[in-house]
Amino acid sequence: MSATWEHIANLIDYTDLRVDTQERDLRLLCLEAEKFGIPTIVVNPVNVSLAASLAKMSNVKVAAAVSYPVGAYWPEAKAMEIADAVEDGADEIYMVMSMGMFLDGRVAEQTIPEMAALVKEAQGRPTKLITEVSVLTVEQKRMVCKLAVDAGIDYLVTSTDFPQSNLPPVTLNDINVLVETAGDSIGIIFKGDFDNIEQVDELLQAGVSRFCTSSVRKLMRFPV
Amino acid sequence: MENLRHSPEVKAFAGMFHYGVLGVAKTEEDVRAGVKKVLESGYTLTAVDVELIYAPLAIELLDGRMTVHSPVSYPLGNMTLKKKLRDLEKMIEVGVRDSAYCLNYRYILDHRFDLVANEVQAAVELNQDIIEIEFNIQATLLNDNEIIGACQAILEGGGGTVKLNTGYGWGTSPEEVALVRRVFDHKLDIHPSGNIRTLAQVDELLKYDVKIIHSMAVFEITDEYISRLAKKGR
Repeated sequence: MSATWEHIANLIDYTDLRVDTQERDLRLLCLEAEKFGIPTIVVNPVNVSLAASLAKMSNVKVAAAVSYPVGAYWPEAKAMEIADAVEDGADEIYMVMSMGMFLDGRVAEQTIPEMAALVKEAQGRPTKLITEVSVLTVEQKRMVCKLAVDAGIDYLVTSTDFPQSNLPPVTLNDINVLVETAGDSIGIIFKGDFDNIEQVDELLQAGVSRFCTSSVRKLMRFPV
Repeated sequence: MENLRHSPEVKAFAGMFHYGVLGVAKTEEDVRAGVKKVLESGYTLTAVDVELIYAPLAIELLDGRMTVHSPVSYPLGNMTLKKKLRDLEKMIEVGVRDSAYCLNYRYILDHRFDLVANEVQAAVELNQDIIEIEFNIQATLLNDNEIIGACQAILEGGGGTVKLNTGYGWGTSPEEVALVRRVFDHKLDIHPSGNIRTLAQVDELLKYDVKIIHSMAVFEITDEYISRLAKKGR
């Protein structure tokens, strides 16, 4: 393990997308992000304006998780939700793609327009597209990756990591396909929690660019 | 048994239920299969629940034989009010006539019941009674005072139905239903949801005069109900 904590912290988007997040949790999220040198926090859209006001006095950026966790909305609905998040103070946008429509083959009517909406409505802010890589075939993974690159999206996120979805876990093989397809064209974000720093290191070695996680306190217990 | 399956008593029993095809990776094929299963059962359920993006398809497939239900801000309730109201408008436009509106749980947990009531009121005013709305709370994550506060806010905002839990891993207990019934009597309709898989569980809920239940196991539960009637020699 060669990376320093400062290096790892800089790669984390510190996340609280729980159903029962309270104001005190958002305050803590902001405080901890600042204290630990984490650049970005990720919150649900209804919490963006409060999080933005809490983060105002720090260097912490606020990312909105649009259409989380299901993603089953038409492109125009997503465009409006992104515009709302920007208006509420979001510095970055995560957006869940419609997996069902993609699997249905509705790429021209849904997938391409929703990706375009993400880039357009984010107005230059970093864009992070959430997929569910574990339900895709190798060909489908490559296709999502290429479509995201063509759309000008900055990062592809491995999954919603929404436990109640009961989807298969993301594997190293899934990530290898994304990294191999992405090359330098798009960053790959692993979304999920960690038990130890070795797991982070393994993903860094595999070519993952960033981490969207709520495991910061757990990771802080491990010396680097 | 086959005669019982088509009896008015069994049809009325099955008619209490919602059946859902909801989730992040659900496809058109899943919706078609779900609707087919419902239609082939011969029962007229309260509604078939699908994501809004699949509502037009479900409406077309059901062709007026059953109501289509779509949820708002499902299952977290953590979308903005603006987004929720736009989704409600879209539902009205495409023909959805039943919805579970997931409330903002941060307001409930932070005890801002005035804001909960405002949210309910905004939805009720926009809806103008076009859609049957059940206001959805994750009762499992709330204490008794929070459940009561949220239900009171639903009433103050002009709502008439509480859906207890979203399903999706969060399930209703008879104790939660009993609490709401005890405090609010029949001022609120109660729609339990989540982890309801057996007739014994349904029996418990019916003690509190529940009229509508969400369950993916509707067909299995109805089969149990038929077996019970058969044993009684009906």
